[in-house]
Amino acid sequence: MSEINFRDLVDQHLNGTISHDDFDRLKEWLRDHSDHREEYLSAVKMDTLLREIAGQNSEVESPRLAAKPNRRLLLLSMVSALAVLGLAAFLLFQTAAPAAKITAVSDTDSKWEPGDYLQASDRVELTQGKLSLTFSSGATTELHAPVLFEVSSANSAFLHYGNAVSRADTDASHGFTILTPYGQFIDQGTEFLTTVRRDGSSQMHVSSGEVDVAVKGFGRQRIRKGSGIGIESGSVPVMIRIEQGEESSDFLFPSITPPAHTDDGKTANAQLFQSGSDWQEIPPHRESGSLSLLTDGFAQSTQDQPEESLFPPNGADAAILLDLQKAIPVAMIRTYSWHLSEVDVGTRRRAVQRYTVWGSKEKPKQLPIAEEARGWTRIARVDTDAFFQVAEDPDRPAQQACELFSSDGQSLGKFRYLLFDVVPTPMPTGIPPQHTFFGEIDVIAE
Amino acid sequence: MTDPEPNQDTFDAIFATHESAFRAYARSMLPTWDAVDEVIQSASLIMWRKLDQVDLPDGFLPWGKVIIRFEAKKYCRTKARDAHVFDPDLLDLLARHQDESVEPDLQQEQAVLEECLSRVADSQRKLVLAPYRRHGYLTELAEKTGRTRNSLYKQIRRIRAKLEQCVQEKLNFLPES
Repeated sequence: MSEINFRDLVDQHLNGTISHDDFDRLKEWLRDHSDHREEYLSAVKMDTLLREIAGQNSEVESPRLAAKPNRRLLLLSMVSALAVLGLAAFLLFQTAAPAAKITAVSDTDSKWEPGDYLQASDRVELTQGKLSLTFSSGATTELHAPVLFEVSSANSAFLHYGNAVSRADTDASHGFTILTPYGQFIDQGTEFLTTVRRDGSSQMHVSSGEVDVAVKGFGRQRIRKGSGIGIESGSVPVMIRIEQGEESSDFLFPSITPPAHTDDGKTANAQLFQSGSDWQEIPPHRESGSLSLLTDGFAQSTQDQPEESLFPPNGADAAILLDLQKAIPVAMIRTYSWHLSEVDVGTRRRAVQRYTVWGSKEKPKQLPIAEEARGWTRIARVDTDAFFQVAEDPDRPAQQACELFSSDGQSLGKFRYLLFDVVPTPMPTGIPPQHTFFGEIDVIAE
Repeated sequence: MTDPEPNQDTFDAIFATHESAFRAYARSMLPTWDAVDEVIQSASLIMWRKLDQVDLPDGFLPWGKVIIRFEAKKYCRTKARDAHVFDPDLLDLLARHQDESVEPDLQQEQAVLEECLSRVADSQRKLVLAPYRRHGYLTELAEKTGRTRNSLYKQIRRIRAKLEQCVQEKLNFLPES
């Protein structure tokens, strides 16, 4: 690739038109070549100086913000901004009452441009890039492709599928709502991420403040900062609550109870199988504890206890079976994990919980695979990394709990067999994926 | 009763001296100017609050850069779902590259650039400054002139290359400070 092309990428990056693939290439070149870094930094310098000049030039309306933390000026500017916003909102409602306005687009294939107004029922569909919009209420949402989003009103929208990060911190936006096929997320002054899969299942993670989740038949429940909840699609949606623990042997979580000694899973027989096989049994990892520890009522006593944890061999496609001995109406399932390696404190890769849980009353002939249930009922899919918005390894909580329950307050189904198809976490290049340190699985009957 | 807050005038003066350098530093790590504004705003508040921890005036620039780097990483972490955010290792690499290079005199370079800008045609000067106007301005310009945004970007790139060459030539003739 020639120097000319590298500079093209730099310019595209700086003017916000670079594609995802080209951005990856740009990063690679910057990593690998000192002279490319030099050239990039020189272009950045020119960009900075031109913007400085643009800011001083009276014919140019620079978008630059006040940089100095002069509190008096900040206060004045906030008051002025609120006045302008209020006036703008008043004018908007007096005219065609647009519900939202596009504020930024980046690398999209959308017909929408910054400055465009959206009415209720207008849709934004992106197959690439991202787009930001501000509702008349002051709530803002950033959409990430692929996404289909429909404005419902000046303070609500329907997310058909994709990712939407919303912030609602103005008085008028209190109660800002993202509707999804199986539930609603109602802001209570916060920032939250909503993700909807193509099949309608959704999950929401609260970055700050609080959000109410409302599902038909389930009522309304408040979710606080750092927590997330998922709604698995189905005739009766399954709720998935995921929380971060205090990292003590007491396994304390904001609302999920610690591992139980008296749950209905305590007499279950646990076995480990090859995923998707005809019941091919495999042993746990050689350093793992025995399978019985999953139902003994205790999780780990410290953060790096292989003998008190259950984990399949590295790289194995594995499924943990709990045989409850008889079919019972399962009301709730809880899974607990804890891992923080003293050798590599930064990672916490083996704390993430990533599994699909299946149930069955009888013993099917085969274990299920993602595309084929083979007689099993899929209960829920769990990925705690997605909830915690893990961007890099140290962001991941070391102690995690996941709680599954039915949105109608009834049982998840009548099952004798519960199968947890567990997915190992990818490791750095050259190291096979390694499995989560599970400490306990609790099953509560209706 | 003593005033626990640092002197605002002292802070304003020293921050203004290094503002361009801080912006260039933040821009090298962040995807958009909006992101730079956000990071500079939060970093400057931290600098203001912790001003008593640094040896003034010489320590301010390197110390401020460390804070900006930290805030830029935080920003990138929160926007990690955006594919156009650099990862922490690359941020460190870019920061190290700049820390090990000679600190450019941005005020001098800006004066030279302004001189170079004054020598290009008025239409070219307006075009090269157009990306820094309000959102959507370039699209309007493209529609008004019957051209695509891409062709405008290509022309902007040619003007910038001409300006870079002009600045470099002039700097080469300036006595070293």
